[in-house]
Amino acid sequence: MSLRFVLAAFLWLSPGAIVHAEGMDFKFVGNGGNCYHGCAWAIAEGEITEETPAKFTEFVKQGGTGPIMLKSTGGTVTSAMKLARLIRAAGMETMIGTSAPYYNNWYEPKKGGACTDACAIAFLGGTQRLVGLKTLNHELSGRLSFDRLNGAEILETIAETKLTGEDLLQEQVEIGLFVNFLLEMGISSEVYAKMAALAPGGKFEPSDQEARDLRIATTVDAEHPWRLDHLASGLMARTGERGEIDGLWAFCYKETFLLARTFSKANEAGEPCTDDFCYSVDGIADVFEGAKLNVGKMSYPIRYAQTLRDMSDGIKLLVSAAVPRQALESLPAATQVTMSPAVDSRVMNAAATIFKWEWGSEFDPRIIDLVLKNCVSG
Amino acid sequence: MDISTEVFSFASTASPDEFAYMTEAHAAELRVVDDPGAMKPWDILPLASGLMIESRSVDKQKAVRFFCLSRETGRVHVQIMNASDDGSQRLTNEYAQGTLDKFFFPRLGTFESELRYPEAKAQPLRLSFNRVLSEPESGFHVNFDFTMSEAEFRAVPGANHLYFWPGHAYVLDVNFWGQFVASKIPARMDSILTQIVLDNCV
Repeated sequence: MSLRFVLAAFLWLSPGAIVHAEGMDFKFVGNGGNCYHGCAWAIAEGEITEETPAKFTEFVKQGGTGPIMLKSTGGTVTSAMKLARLIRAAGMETMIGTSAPYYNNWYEPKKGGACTDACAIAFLGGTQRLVGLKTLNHELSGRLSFDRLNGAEILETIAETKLTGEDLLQEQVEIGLFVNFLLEMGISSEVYAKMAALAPGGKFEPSDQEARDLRIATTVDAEHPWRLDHLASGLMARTGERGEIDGLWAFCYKETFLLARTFSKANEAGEPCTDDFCYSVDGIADVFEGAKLNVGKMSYPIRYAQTLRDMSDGIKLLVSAAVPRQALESLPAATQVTMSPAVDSRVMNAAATIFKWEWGSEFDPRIIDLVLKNCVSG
Repeated sequence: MDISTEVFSFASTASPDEFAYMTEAHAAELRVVDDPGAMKPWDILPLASGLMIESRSVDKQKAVRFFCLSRETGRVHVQIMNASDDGSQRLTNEYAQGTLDKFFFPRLGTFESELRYPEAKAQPLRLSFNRVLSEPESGFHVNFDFTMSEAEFRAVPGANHLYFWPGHAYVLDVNFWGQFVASKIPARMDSILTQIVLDNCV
């Protein structure tokens, strides 16, 4: 039985509320489409209360899965931090928006939706965090707003076991707990500074740029601008801001034209990993056999692929594919590369995502011209 | 204290019984040391049919660029870019308030200046003044364009300051301009980068 049938059957048989009580509700909904990803999501709406983490755990136990679309005006900060950790543990993505039924029990995302105050903290739990960007193929922009931090509330959660009365007076404990939470979630601790600097009643509503810079939003749909960098004796084009390791490189080595996917994470076996999963070494070798590289709408054969490990600047793994020169030349007019394996199977298609990368918008073709003019010579 | 809270992240890279040591440049970038004028690493940017390298200061008040227009001339352009407080073409410092850029009108076309290196080393430069230009679209309003020889450009790696002797500018009454026509130079310039600039003239 195919995954899509199981998914469609599940949505058909049990649409609507799975867990419903006071405070935030969780629903698993779908739009009725046949797809592996992007036609089913979880809705989380309402105030975050002390019961919310337990309700979410129950929701996940009953089969609820992500991505999770949040709409809430806030609630309890400590419950929001717990919820964030549970969302992260469940491997769910977070996004902001609202959903409404359009036919029978099928839902679709709608414009609007806001995630404010404590909800913004819960939002940080997503393995990928979409802010004001394309959500389930809809161009929606939900509002994300952080409130001034309630330090006393955070302290209460640990006061029973770990702190003396003197400790409770120390503001640094509150800072430490929240900053630790941010670091655990992979968010810039600068977010704390922004929140701490707010006047009572003030709001921190990050711009798209701030959301990316502070890692409040992740890169799923974000811009990964191309830029030039030098590589040995030549030039390469690479995606992402300075300091971003995961991305795509384009360069030439003598007469060979290469596209390479870089990874900042690897498991103990040395296999490249994203936030979600790791690619098996055997799978990498198999998937390149006879595969094609798609640059926008154009497809190119892959002559061979190569893997390099433990390079400088934090690159754990680099998987490069030798492609025709035209593949590099067509990059500026495209917004993504993907790979089509020779065999169309679920396993191979999953392995082929190793070369899937989006950068958001077309870029200056002179970047590639300069790369092709400045090949690495050896 | 206006220190970047990225310091927390940096500190967490060390295990409990170890110290995490910060480089001088990193300390400036995170505002641990008070150096808002610290220069960020070089960016390589397309410029017409060639390229230029540019570094901006952490406080976005200053930038320095190198590029060449033609390899045959044997000259390399260096542009020192300044943002003004109010977006006008007036520059202000502690000695003078809001002097218009047109006051920068040197009597001599050649400036005695020097590249300064760590440990008090220096190499003299003879920069040719080309023009003053404004580039509000990039946030820099008063910019000075000079050229240097290819040999002088090849001496830039390792230098940390392009220094002007204000008295040698021969600009009457406005010697304070030296501050604006000088620039720190970021680390990580190497001979490969200088060669890339020379191989990709506009």
